[in-house]
Amino acid sequence: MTTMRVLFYAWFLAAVLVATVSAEPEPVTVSAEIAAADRDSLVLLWTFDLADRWHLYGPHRNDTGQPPSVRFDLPDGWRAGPLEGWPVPERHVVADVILDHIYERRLRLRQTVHHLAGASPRQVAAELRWLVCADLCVPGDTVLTLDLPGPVSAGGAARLANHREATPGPLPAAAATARATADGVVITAPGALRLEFVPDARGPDMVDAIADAVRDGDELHLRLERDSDAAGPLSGLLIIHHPDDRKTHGTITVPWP
Amino acid sequence: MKSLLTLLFTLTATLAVAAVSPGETAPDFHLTDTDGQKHHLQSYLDDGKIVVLEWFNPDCPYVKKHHEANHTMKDLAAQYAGHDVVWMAINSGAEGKQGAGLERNRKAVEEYAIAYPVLLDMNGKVGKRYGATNTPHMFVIGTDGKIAYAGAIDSDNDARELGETNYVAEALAALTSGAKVEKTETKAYGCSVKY
Repeated sequence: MTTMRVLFYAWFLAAVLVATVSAEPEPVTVSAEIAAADRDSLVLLWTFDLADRWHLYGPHRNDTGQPPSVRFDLPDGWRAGPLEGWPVPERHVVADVILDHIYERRLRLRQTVHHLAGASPRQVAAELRWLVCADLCVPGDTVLTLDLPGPVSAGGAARLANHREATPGPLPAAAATARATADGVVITAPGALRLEFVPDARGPDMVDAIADAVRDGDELHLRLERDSDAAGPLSGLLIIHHPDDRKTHGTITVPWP
Repeated sequence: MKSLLTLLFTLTATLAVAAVSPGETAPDFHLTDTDGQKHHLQSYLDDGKIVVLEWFNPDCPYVKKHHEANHTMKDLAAQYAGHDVVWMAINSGAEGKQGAGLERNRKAVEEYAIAYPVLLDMNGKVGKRYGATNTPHMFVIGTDGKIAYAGAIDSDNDARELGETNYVAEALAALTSGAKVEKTETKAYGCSVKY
């Protein structure tokens, strides 16, 4: 009898393990929490957790992907701000032709929702859409129903503080200089070991972002299309690799032409 | 010697990423479709045809939006079939990648009832010469052999919604009536080409 029971448990355990191993995890799971609140607004923290090998796209200049989006169905007088706090993305180059800026593992974003002062809690629907890719791409969406306004979640304030801390801000003026040239812009960060530039989605087209936007040394020459439809300054995120292995970053805007 | 190597490297890198822009000559190519028929771009141009190239991957959700949920490509190709317009899909996916290979694309032609040829470019050479980044990525070539339009099929980059403006339809309407193509370039959207 004991032997039978041991065999049964062994079979049951094996079945559970097989089911666990063979089940494909969802590429993306999304959660939301209230990370700050006052009388007439609150800050939501959205967390996109990604399965291994999958990535989401940033709101930067990408050849293929698009960033996640949120669309609220809000009561009259309420308003949702934009998704904010995009972290530093990774460059993703495919076959020397395609350049995207991506996030793997986890993407956290914040969003302010303005409501009527002293509004009582109610259920609010938020529709999220994203494109998640690995070897293949899958568009995803979900509708989350949130009770807003509501109390700040446990640990939410600390996570929001960490998120704000990690969000790239303007590059200190002393960190780099930029000047327009006949065919583009040159960014110089004295003493840098390596420079990377992540162009914003809007702005003049780069002649060859794959070749130009990363370079060893303290100078980056970004060639720009002069007849680009999108006129105006070139803006984006500059990532500076220092000789002591530190990495600093910040947003930069360079007038063009 | 070092200078020569640098020059060679630069040339190689430039060739690898060269993309064509509106107004430039469309790179010529010879490709074979899923039925084994050979297609030569210049032959169509010599016959006075306007050519539409549609970068294709049957398993990309954005391609399915236009071939499964809607019949954007099929209907537009049929609408202009009698107007000296040749429409060809090109799959630049490498062997083993999503939506690539002869068998998968043969099946896709049946599944989506595609009436125009689907050409295979499994080494990606043609795709890279055009700078095709997405599926779908559209190129419209005028009878002069120059790129008249490059970019998205329509104005909505969502995987489900159709855009209000179909840029290829606008380009074809202009070209077939002798008018100027107003919108010559947009940003393509969709999956990445699986080079």
